[in-house]
Amino acid sequence: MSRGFDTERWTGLDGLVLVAAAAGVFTRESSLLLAAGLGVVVLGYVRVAAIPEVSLRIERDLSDATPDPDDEVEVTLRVTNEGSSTLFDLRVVDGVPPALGVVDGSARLGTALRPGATATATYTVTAVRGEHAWDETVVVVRDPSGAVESRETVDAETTLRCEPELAATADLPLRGLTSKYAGRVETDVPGSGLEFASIREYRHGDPIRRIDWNRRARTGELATVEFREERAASVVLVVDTRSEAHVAPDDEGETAVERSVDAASVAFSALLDGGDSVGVAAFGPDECWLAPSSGVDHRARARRLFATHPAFAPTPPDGAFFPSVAVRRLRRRLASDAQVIFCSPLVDDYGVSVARRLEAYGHAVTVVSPDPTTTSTVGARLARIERDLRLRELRGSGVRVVDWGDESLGVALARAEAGWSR
Amino acid sequence: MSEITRQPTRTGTALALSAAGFAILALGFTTSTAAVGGLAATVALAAGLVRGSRRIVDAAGGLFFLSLLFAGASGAGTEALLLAAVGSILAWDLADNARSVGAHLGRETDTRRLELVHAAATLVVLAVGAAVVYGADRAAAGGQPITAVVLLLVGVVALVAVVAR
Repeated sequence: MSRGFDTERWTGLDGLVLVAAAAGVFTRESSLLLAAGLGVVVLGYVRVAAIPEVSLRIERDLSDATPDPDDEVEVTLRVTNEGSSTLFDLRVVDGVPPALGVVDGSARLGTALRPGATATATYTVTAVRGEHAWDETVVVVRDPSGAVESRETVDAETTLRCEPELAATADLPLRGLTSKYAGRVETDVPGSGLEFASIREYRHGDPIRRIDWNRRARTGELATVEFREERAASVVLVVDTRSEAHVAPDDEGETAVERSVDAASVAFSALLDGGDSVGVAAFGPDECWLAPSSGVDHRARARRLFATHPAFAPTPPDGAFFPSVAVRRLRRRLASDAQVIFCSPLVDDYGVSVARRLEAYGHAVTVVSPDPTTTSTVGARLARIERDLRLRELRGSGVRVVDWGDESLGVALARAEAGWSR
Repeated sequence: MSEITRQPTRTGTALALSAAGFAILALGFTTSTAAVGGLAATVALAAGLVRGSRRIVDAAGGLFFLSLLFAGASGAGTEALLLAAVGSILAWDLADNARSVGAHLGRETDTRRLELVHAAATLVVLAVGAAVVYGADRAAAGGQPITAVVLLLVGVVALVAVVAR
């Protein structure tokens, strides 16, 4: 038996009882004394209050432990009283992972439970990308009068793992910085390829197929046709996961980090399909680095990384972060011929400085920036204007910028691409 | 993400207001002033439940107490006063419980079983208590010399001292 802590619910009743009794004596009314007697009975009821030993078993069932994103998962919470006494006042609050929203039903349970009996609560959550573990379930038990309360936690381990397929739904054009391997990025290097580049004087050893025979027939001179050489690029997708980037237009909306990770996973798949070698890095307190590579294994590794790495969690990180150290570490890791695709909402100036520094070190930078701003208030409009100015500044310094609003990423890319020079 | 509504539960509100109505009815058999006091207390209780405020609910309990005191002092019948006391305590208890359950679990959760069990437990205790007190009064029927009243008072004080340390 534990006494629990006092809820102070009945505090003051003893005073009222004495007042009633005294009034009864003064007025010589027996009915008031009887009412005071009733009060004494209630006081006795409150005094004997005690909470029995609480022994609960909690089980949780998911209708699907590995759902796709935005799937609705039904969660069944079963609470069984394994103790020997009835719990008159049992309140259970399930520890739903912070990133999962309850869309239907209630993750809470209030009931009275006989020994051996089971109570069930059913609720529905919407799956979002990531690995989500349920927190401890909080159990509050009160005695029937509500005078004492005890609070404990029961743990039932449940994990929901949601790994989106990596789908190349949009094609991300790369900049001219390439590795020495053949691929699909058209470079300004003349050589063999598909797109015409120039005609130059014939040099000994040029392949016979590339001689401009029309010119030979017209003027008698030998000339060689050159094409833009197509090479593979090495790309590192850097996702801004600082707590500053965890911003959303409203309470319900996706955060910029969520959209950045979406954009990065689309780009990853598209680039990998195109033969480029692709790596992943997080720019935030949680360290995450996947060196550029290609192949089926690499794709599987990246899929797991995007889905479950703590750096890409949908909730803001709480560790300390030293941005300049992180930039230096990122620079050390980037090969000299690596392009960078930086996914950041650019809601503060540091994101801009990261992009500019990487560009200055010779990594051709493309910024994909999901727009989290709104126009609802004056402050929000100011934030939007500030962000627009940052984008303009970046464009001015030669960085390619994709401003991604409400439309799909493909539309945003097509619009941005129209304004780019090669 | 659906937020929970931290308001007193509907079940508890309905039960508490029914008990308050019963208390008004019982007070109606005493004096009209006490009945008006009970009505004011019920209005306060309803306001406390709408606002979800512990203070207002406690103030409503205080108004009930004053009404009972007034009814008793102006010579109410024993039965009517005991029933009114049962109704008042029950009303305050259920209202406060509805507030606490609402704060813990919110309105969306089905808490009918929890609150019905709580209401039944309190009602049984009050009914038994009222029956015992009333029975004792009947057993000691006849004239009530002031010594008996004083002795009863001493008993009450001793009980309170022991029980409510």
